[in-house]
Amino acid sequence: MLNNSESAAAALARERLSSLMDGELAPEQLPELVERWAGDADAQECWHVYHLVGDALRSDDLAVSPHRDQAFLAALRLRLADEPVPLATAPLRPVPGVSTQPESAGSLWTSRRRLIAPVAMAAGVVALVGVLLVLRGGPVGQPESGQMANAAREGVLAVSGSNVIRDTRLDRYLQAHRTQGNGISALAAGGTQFHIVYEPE
Amino acid sequence: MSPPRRAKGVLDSHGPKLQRRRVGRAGVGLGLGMGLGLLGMPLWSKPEGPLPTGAGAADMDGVQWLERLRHAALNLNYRGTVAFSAGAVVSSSRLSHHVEAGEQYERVEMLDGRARLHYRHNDEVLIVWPANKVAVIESRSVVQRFPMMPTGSAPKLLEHYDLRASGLDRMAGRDAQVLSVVPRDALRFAQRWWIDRDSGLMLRSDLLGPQGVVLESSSFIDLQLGGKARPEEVLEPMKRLDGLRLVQGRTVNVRLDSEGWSLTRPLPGFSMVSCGKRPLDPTAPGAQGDKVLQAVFSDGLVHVSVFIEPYDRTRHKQGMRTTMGGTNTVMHRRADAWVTVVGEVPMASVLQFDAALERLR
Repeated sequence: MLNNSESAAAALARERLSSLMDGELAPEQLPELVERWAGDADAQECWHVYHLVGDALRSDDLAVSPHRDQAFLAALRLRLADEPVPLATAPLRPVPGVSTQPESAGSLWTSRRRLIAPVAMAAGVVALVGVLLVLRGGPVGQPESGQMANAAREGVLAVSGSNVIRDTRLDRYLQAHRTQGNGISALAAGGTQFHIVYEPE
Repeated sequence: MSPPRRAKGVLDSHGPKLQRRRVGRAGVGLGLGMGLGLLGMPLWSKPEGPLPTGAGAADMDGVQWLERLRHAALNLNYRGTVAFSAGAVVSSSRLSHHVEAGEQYERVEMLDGRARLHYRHNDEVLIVWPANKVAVIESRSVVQRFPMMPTGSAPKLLEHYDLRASGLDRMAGRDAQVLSVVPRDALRFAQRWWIDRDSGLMLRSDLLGPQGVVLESSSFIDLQLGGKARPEEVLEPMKRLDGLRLVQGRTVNVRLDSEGWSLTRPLPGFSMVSCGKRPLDPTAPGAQGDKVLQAVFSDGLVHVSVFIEPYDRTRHKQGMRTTMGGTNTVMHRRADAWVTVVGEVPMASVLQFDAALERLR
């Protein structure tokens, strides 16, 4: 009987803890509940679990199954495989924030403005490095390796491990396209660097 | 004279929208200071309208600008050093161009990588690789990059590009008029040209990405205009071939449809300017039997080449897309053929060319 009444009391305490969390507990019941909670490991455990449940219910991130992350990464790889990687990583525009003129004394505002741009650029570089790291995470190897071909067939991004590739045959097409007669060709100068995205077959 | 410096501010801006706004402001500044209020006029919406050319120069419209560029590139004597950059790649070459009695002579020396010299006398082209002692006879290419020469009909070109005056600058030690070349659709890139105010020769040409980022740039670093023509600079090396292995790299003109292909609907504004068969690498062993079909399309400013050759599993591994500066490439297998499309157009346009190519048989 004692056990029964004890478990009934525990059930009541759990119910009241739940009401307290929902803000529905009558004020006069609070002191008794707190007193019980202070001396009852089960009640403390229960309080903790209720909070975990509440957090999970309120948060999409906590509620998702871990498979969702994997699905997202797989989808990202597929999308990346479709995207050509632009090589023009270093735009030729004048570098903002770089001044050849001496800093005029006391112009805090202008010196601040000159600082902001390099910081923003540095952030851009960090972001770029991040992208390259992601790309490097893919299968690494020569274009002719079977591993590469398989990877591409599966729709997995397959960019050269060093992110820079030389394809002499590609050089020749570019050269054939644009270099005879008058004109310039950086492309024919040898050592041309490309970013290459292999198409899923 | 402060206008060049003022105009520089205009050039520093990126993106057509931003630029127009800043052109307006700079125009007001110039107008106040130098009486060049013309720059602030909203004349850029009309391609056929008069373009300001700076103090003292006659007003010119888009057609006149294009004619002037073309005329200068064809008829002037000039020599100089040209720098080319695309993304992180930079190279330079020494260029000379002479005209005498209606004959054109041209010499281009690559200053980076493997030594290479181009000699051209009218349509005859000889490329010499001194290190390998190889000389390749080639046909003159329709693709002329720099100084870029507009081809085809100027009014047609202006259906797809809008020319806008964008201020004055200095380039290679000379006063230059800057023109923004704004495409009227997303199928092509914008460009910016620096044109010598005295002669009309192109001093610099930039290919611009969607946000006004410079994708590729070609410019004279130094330039000597005029001077006596020296045909012997070209004619003598073209005759002096002893000790060189002479290789045939000429393009034989063919019809695309008689080769079993058709590309009847290229992108708006583009038309086929040449179609021929040529060895891709004339110096390689067995190259004479290993020829590719190359069809070149142009909208008057930029070119797209479509290469077609029989599929060969040892050479053609994996379909791929590449981006290098403003030059996009797609290559892949199409049944028993290997197709490569290369052009200074956005990747989407390259893919559209690829999709427009049809097998007839």
